[in-house]
Amino acid sequence: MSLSSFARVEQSAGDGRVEVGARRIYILPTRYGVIYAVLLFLMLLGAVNYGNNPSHLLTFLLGALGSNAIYLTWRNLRGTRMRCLGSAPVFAGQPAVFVVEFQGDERERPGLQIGLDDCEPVLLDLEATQTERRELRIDGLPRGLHPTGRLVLSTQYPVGLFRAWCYVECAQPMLVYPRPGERWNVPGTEAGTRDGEGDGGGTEDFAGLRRYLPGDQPSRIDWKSYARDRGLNTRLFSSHALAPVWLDWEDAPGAGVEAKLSALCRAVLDAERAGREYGLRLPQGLVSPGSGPAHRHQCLRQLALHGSEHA
Amino acid sequence: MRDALSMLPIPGRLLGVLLVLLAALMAPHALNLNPSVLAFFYIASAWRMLVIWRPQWMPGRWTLLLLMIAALALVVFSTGVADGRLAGTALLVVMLGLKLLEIRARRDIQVTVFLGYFLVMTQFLYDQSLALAIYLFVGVLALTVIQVGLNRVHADMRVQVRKTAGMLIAALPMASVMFLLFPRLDSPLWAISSSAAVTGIGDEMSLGDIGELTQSDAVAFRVRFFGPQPEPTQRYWRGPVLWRTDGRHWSPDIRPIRYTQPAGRRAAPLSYETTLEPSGERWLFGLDMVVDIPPNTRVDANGALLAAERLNKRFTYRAGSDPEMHATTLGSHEHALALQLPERLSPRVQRLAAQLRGDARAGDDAMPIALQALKYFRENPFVYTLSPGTLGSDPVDEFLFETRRGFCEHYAGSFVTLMRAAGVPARLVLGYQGGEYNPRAGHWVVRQSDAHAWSEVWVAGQGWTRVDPTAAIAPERIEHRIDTVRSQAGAQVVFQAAPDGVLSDLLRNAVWIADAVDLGWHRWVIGFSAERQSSLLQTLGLGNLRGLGLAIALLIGATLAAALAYLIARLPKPIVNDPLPRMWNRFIDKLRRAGITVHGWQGADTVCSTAMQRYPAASDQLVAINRLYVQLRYGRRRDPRQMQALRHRIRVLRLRPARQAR
Repeated sequence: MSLSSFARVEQSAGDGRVEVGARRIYILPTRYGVIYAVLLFLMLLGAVNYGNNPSHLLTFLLGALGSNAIYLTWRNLRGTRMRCLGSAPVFAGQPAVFVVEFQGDERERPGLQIGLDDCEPVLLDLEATQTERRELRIDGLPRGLHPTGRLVLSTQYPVGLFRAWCYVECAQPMLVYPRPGERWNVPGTEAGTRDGEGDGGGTEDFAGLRRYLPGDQPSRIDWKSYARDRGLNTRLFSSHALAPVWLDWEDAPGAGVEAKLSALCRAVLDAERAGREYGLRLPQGLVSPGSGPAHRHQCLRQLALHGSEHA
Repeated sequence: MRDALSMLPIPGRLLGVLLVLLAALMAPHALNLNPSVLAFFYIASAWRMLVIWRPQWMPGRWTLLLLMIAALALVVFSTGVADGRLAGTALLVVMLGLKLLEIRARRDIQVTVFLGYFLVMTQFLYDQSLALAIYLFVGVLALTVIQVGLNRVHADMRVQVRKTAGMLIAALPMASVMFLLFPRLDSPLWAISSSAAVTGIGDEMSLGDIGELTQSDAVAFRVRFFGPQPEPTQRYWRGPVLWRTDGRHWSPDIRPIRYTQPAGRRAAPLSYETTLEPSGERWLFGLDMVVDIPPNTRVDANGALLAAERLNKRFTYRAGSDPEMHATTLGSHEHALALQLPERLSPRVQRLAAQLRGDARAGDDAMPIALQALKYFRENPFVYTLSPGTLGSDPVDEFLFETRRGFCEHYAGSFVTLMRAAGVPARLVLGYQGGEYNPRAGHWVVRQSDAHAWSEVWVAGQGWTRVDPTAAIAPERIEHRIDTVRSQAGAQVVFQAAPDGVLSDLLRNAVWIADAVDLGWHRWVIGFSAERQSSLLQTLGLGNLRGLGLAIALLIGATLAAALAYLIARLPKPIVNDPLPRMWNRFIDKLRRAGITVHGWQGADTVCSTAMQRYPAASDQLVAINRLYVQLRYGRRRDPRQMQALRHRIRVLRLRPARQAR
């Protein structure tokens, strides 16, 4: 058990809100604080030796400034309001982006640094009454559901002599889908399984638009709506004519759990892109057929959680 | 977690400002340091300034090493190491220059700012004037602004000036407590190099000498009295007597010093022990007039006490004085000397002397004539100042009739000349006047700033009688600091202040305020000594505190002061730069443009209902704006989201004339 597990930690509420409490803040002098103290000591020696009163006054003024800095630095952190917005699910291999939103109150809070325990922190000057978002990139997460870990919010403002920091634990975990594998032929996607006659107008009917999701085929992007400044959208085609595809754990190629999961992940993406209804058949259970972003997420989530107690 | 701030690039403007600031803070050292040392710094500074635009000119590691060797050699050869203060300052200056050439990251700037604080301190070792202190305080503020800027992501210095000033002001109470309670030493921690000239009263006087001396707060001597303490009017510490003058310079009798026996007729009423700081002279200073002399010392014919040899270390002696005593020897030689006048004495001075003698209507009686002369000083606009400006070829005439600005030596010198011109034998006495009582130690401290010159006139039947013309200057004309001890000491001849009418003069009041500030700076900062500290503690009822007790009092006091500063800071303050009124004004502007008359005295409800009558279509929006504004303006807490909502609603508000059938 490491020492840091005894640390006082600010827990986020259910919706990710955190307000930094006065008693959760740690403060220690920085390297500059130590240098500053040595410098003031030398100045005091000089002042005493030469019996020089203005030097005494200057030394004490700087000393008082340094000692007030303890309070000022602490105050810069106290009451900071933030919200952990969590991160969108990513595929293994992609960096997870954890979003934190700061809500300015009546005090400006310059020089804030937020980061995970061992990562390069992200900086911001939080203006009064402004809301700012910062993204924390986390690389190299394996498939699964990960707790966010401990965020460190720190500041050295105003004079850099002290660093005040507090630990924040966010409730939102980060979900990492399996890495999509090679494309493979899923049984049941052949043309022969088509149900009923083609209607001559093509195999698929235009069914509407939805917001673009990473992984959608570029050919399905609705460039017209993009040109009209409505953002990237993907054209959906109705697949009522096609029977649901069953993506079966047993059918998935590859040796080992991860390879199978990667293959199934690819299959889910392909099926979704093809506009087919698809279901998932896993050792731990079924995901009944469906389509659309929510269904896709549901399937990928099952794959991501395979083998863990969340499943 | 690493510190991401210190890895950010240096904002070029910030570095430029820092370089200019350091150059300005260095400037006063032009008076103190060897020019080559200063040149080294300024060249390094200019070089670093160029690097802002030409990063490839940044010196490399080897260049810096060579420069460092060169800098050390420069300090050793230009300044030497004999004077610790000068050598230390020169070393700091070249090191600061080298540091500038090394600035690569924000971290380096932080350290440079610290060195800047140290640079400010070294300035005080050479000059402690109020003007310089104000200049340097502004410099410290600017340095702190830069330091604060370094700890933000976007170093916008203008935003920070107000905040930083507030921080420094909040630090003042604590700094003052530490300043007042931190123990002061009587002697330095380690020997200060002896090349700093020993100041003290010599046996000659030129106009300006004493003025220079009074700038120094060095202790001249300390005196402990056994039995009664001297009255304020008795605190004249007598030194050499000067006879011969050419109007500008005063010098002693040309003959070798003649010693006499002190002319005491009775036991000395005041007996004391004096510890004299090394002065490099033979003069010992006894209270006017010395009757019991210590062993190995002698008294000259003028009543001045002398040691057997020059005093190069502290010297302690016991003596006794009788303030009622007058020197009563006036040989023919002295008589002639006491009437000697400068070769050129202007007709104006002669006329004035004759007039004084005539007004006194007392024949040869010296005292009435002296009083007439003092009346002349009092009734004409004479000013006591330590910066009288220079006087031309006939200083006495110029001082008496034109400039009328001077300090004790001007007054004493011209008074003696005037007396002599009026036929009254007179002479000039150098010494110290006043002193400060240390209630805890029970002794008096006399400083170089207490150096003084006064005069003595020969009064038939009484002998040499002290007259201090400086004390005759009307108090409101005292332009420069003069210790209250001295002004209350007055002199043997005490006069009343000038009539009240002049006090109403605005300009004079301004001079007074400036004087009070300067005096405060002098009394409470420069001259704050162990003696003054102990008398302050005595006043506060903490007179018995020493060592640990004082340290605890210091801690408690400093903490209380800091707490006080932040209690004040937490008081609700007028909201400066409040966005709410600005939003409201934007709203009112919109209404006015839409043709609605809005008066300043109208409340929000009234304004909105007026607008609604005119534009019923916009009723919903107007009501919403009104509700938000009232909540924000009078509510307990301000919700930032409401602020944004209000801003948004005011921005999108469109007032289109309603098509009403009327």
